[in-house]
Amino acid sequence: MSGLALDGVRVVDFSWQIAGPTCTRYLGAMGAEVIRIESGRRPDPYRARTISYFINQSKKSITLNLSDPKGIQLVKDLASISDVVVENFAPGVIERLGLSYEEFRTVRPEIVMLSSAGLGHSGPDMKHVAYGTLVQCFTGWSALQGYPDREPELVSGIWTDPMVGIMEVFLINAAIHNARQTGKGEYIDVSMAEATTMLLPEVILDYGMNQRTNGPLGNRDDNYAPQGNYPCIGEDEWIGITIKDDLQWGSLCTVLGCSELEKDIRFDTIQKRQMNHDDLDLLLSKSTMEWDATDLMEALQNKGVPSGNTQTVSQLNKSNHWAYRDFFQDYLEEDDEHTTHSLPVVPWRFDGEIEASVTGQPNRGQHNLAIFEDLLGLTESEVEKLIEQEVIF
Amino acid sequence: MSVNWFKDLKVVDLSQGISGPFCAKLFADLGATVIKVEPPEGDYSRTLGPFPNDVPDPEASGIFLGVNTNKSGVVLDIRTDIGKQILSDLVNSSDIVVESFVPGVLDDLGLGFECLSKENPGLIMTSVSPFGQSGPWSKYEASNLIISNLSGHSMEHPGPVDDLSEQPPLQLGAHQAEFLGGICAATATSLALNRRSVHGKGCHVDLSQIEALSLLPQTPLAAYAIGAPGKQRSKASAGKASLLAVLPCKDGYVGISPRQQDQWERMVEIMGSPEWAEDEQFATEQGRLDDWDRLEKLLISWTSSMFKEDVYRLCQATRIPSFPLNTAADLFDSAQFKAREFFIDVDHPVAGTLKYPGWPFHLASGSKVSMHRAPLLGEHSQDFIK
Repeated sequence: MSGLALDGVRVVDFSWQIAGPTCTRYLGAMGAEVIRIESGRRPDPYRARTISYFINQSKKSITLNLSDPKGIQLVKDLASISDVVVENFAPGVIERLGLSYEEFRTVRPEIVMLSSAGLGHSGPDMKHVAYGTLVQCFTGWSALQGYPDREPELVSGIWTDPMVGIMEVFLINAAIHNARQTGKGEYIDVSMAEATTMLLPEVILDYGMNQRTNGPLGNRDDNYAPQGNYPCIGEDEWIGITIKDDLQWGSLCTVLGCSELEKDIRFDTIQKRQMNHDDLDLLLSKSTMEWDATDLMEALQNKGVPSGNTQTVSQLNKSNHWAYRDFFQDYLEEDDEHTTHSLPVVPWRFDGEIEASVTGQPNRGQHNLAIFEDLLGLTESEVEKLIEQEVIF
Repeated sequence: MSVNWFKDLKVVDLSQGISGPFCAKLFADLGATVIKVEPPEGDYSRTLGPFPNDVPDPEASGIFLGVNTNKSGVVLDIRTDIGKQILSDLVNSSDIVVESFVPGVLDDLGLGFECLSKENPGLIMTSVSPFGQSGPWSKYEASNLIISNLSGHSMEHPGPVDDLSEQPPLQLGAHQAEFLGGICAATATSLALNRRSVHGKGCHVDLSQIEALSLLPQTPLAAYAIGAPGKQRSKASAGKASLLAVLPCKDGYVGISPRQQDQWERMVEIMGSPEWAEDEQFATEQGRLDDWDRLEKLLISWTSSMFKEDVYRLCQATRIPSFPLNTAADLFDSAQFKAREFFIDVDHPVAGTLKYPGWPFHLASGSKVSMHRAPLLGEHSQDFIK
């Protein structure tokens, strides 16, 4: 099929930091024309970081001074021919700029606008300063990550920002679908804390049912045993194994050559394996240490045992399976036509194809001429004047 | 008004577990008619805890209840001829099918995308699997842990470890790897819908849970792309990028991040300007990070005499980023969540009335998501199977 899912969709993108740019990256990769509005007065600190090579792909960049009324008018002109607005300034900022949903709706009634903030745009604590990693604390997510016998720490890195970014892609597509059916736009005020908590029904319902407060389980699972990461040959090489039933338990013992374990009455039911998990882990580790992690994964999977070794990003790109699926796509950075870079673009396929396009992150203001002249129809001298006046800035 | 963005859509949900059902739930909550088709023994997630009082009951699994709201439930043995016929009829009048069988199983039953879309060319079928529909590993089995490992997440989001051999890389807790698969499956399906409205055709959506999670470690991905792969797992304080810590209090823990200079200076003030804070080492952010182990102990000497809510409120009052490490009980009491009516009470004849997570948004239209309980096994078979 020629064409992409979001062909014809134009996005006015005020987003910065991580979550918002993550969202618009996917919109851009799926065919939307994403026009990121950047500011020389308030540069996005994350543009200078490594992560920017990923989250700012597949979008265009223009620069505008939003404290100048002429800058605001240009935004409205752009919005009047756009379908989506995305922003994640601190609550109140976009309204103070004179760019509330009401303003956008006036120039484009069916526009979909999404604003995200740590705790949302209403409520007594909405103005609290929130980084994604601290939002992970607020929701209790952080208390569920880690080793059971250690103090809670921020052990699982950045979760809320990229996860919420993808959830926003869903919300925007849902609202676009609705706008196409009904002609009605919508304003979506997203709370990142609520989005993170939405994925914790297990924990929330356990408290409601049993007044139990969940802590980290490490690599274990309440429903399966054994489950864990076991050491293999080499430094920091591990095989993950999950045993969901007795059949898999038997297969695990066969592959590892520990028939005595299969007969051991301490381990002959899932409940007993759960109860004697620590002892079992020691015994299993002795066997797995004799194995190369990749070989063991193959041997176990061939017997139907869920298993997988711990991998790094670069190992993923070397795996036959992901190579077969063309998971990593080549692209070029803007300032270097000679070096090919490689990254996964989107995690979904339509009829077996990755229908997405990827471009390297734009330089700040790289598309000023294309947008202001070709799209908005300003003349060259008008644009020059706006640059002189530091409106395009 | 209820949110009904998807009110024109009919979805057949054949999936089991977490990812597929959560994907279909997202459509159900936003107004689609979703018919969950279970085999006679039920979705296997009905056997997964938590259960009220820890007594297993297929109608009261916390996981099942959480990821199947707003759906109708029918029981159908799609391995029988009559079952196949009934399912084909259901699908013919539907827009979307969500399924999570081992790749190839539906094709073998004569119910694959190619067959079903012949009669219904606008059909979108979303197949959720660990490894995707193609490739040498497509039929391999996985779990939340295996997805975490093979996606790179366990290694690329390393926590603070003291001893590599004693502390293995970690899975995402609370089945978050599987929930993320559900979010990505729903996102892909919503994109396929808009693809259909522009290009006129349905399609087979292939969502691998491992591929989905592998896109989350964004900094390691970017570093890899530009030829500067990140550091190996190590003791985190050695490579701390910015000041961010979870510190013990009288009643739990609090997260703080006074990373900017002005935030640090205000932090010193609210701690009562202790003498140790005058140490030259702590005058710059780099200095604070370089001597983090000592600084952490000094900060703890202050937080450990305080309640977590008090540290958080004191910090936020002067715009220092901070949040308490909340428990579910704390979240139920949160003034912020209450004001936004995030939790929704849902009645269930077996599990009782419980608070469920709602949706993370408020809309200008004022529409809200209505939350109706998950179906009992076969509860609506009569309504949909004639």
